[in-house]
Amino acid sequence: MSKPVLTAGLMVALALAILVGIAIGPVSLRHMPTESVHLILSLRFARLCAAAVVGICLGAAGAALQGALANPLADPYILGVSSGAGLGAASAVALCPVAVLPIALPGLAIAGSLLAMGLVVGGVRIVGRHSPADFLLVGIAVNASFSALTLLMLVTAGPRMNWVILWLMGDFSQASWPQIIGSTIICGLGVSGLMAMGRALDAMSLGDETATSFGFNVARYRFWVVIVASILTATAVSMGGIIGFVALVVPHIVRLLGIRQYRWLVFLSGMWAALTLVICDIVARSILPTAELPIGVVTALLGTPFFFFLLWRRRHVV
Amino acid sequence: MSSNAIVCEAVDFGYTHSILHSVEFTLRTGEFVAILGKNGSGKTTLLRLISRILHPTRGTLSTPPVIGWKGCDLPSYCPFSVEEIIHLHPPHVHPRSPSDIQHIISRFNLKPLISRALETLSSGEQHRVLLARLFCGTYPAIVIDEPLTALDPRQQAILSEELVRFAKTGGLVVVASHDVHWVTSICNRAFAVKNGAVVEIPVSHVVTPEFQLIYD
Repeated sequence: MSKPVLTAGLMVALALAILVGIAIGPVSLRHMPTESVHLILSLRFARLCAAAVVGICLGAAGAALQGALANPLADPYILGVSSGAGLGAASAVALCPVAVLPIALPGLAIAGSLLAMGLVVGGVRIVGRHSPADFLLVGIAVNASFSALTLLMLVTAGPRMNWVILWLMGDFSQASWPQIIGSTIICGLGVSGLMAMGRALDAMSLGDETATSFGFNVARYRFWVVIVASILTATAVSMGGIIGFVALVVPHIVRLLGIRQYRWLVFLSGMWAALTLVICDIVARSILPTAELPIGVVTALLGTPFFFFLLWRRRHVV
Repeated sequence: MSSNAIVCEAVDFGYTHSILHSVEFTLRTGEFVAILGKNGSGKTTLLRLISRILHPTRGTLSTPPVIGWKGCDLPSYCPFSVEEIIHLHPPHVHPRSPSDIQHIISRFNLKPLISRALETLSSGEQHRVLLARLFCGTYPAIVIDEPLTALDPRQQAILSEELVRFAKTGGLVVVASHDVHWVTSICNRAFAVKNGAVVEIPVSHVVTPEFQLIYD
């Protein structure tokens, strides 16, 4: 599929999905006073925007990391960023008064993910080679210890545990406009930065030595992709909680559509992930009449069979 | 007309201990140069130095601004198609003319593979694609570590012809190889690497029993 067609198609689909998402919801808007209707519509619009921005962050970060770490299974969470955020969120719930939780939870989540990223980058510095395997190994180690600390916090959090669990499964309902606008700015800068590194990522797919012979400083590019992708992930996690699977799967979907150059892959994976999360958010809040499903549950349940289908199809096409 | 392409003057290289020392040579355009030596002698390190993947710890090394490099490892994750890979070149290296590229595609028998992803090919096919890439861009020099690895005899012959043609049309070819008969039949200069020293030897000597001592 050609890049302009796919770009235009995704833009239109995203706009339509947001319009549909504003119209659909668990509450009927008939016989309601106008102010309430406005309030509900603006709440829905906010969470749909949050879903789209989170999607762009995760899709772009996943695509760039798969390239920089030369691994089709790399995803932003493997670097420990999500468990860092999880630990931050769990600490907020366990330690802060309820009144400040709406601010403390995303704030500590961001702090936790930046701490995890710092440990990974510092750990790789100590190991000293900046190879893809170093990043993955240090990331897995940081991930494991932060996950363990999060579980420890949850055990001590007592009755407020539910709040954290809900957030750990992904949730857009708490997104506020200042947060959405701030995240959009970080998202725009981060995605542009990753796209600017696209040619280096293309070369790195031929191996570090070949990319170096192209004139690219591979260690420096890998370092910056990890930093930018971690910041994008922290942004996404602080606004939407932990939403698995999207960052891993979406770049592979976009590749199967014929987009492989990283500059485009990063951008279109972001767009595709945004569309995915907006649709999943609509499904999450309208499929059950009485309750809202956590978004992470929807992405994983819808994503898994779809991904299997794509893998199966690839075997037959290629 | 040949001119100096790679000039190596008193080059030392090492990480914690010295790997290569006092390396001196001048390679000219149009030459087909072989580097020989036993496993771990520093052949690949020398190739990496002249390809600017590594930098000398001492001495000066002048090279063309960009060199076509093909190492002996295959990429660990390369989600590109064959067609995309043969068009993947550094900034400032232009693709050759479409007819030249078509010629290379048919020479390396890549037509049936052209839209397939690299990762779905056999290792011999992957090496073929990565070798063919070097002939699809305007590289002034190409450096290949173990060029015959995983190629069938027919493909080895085709690669040899293309390398000779590349050198004859004013390019510089540098390879590391263990195949002494291939080296004597095709290269016009040879260097042996032993105990960190790089010594030029006449190409015809490479097949002599005496030369085999470098592998001791």
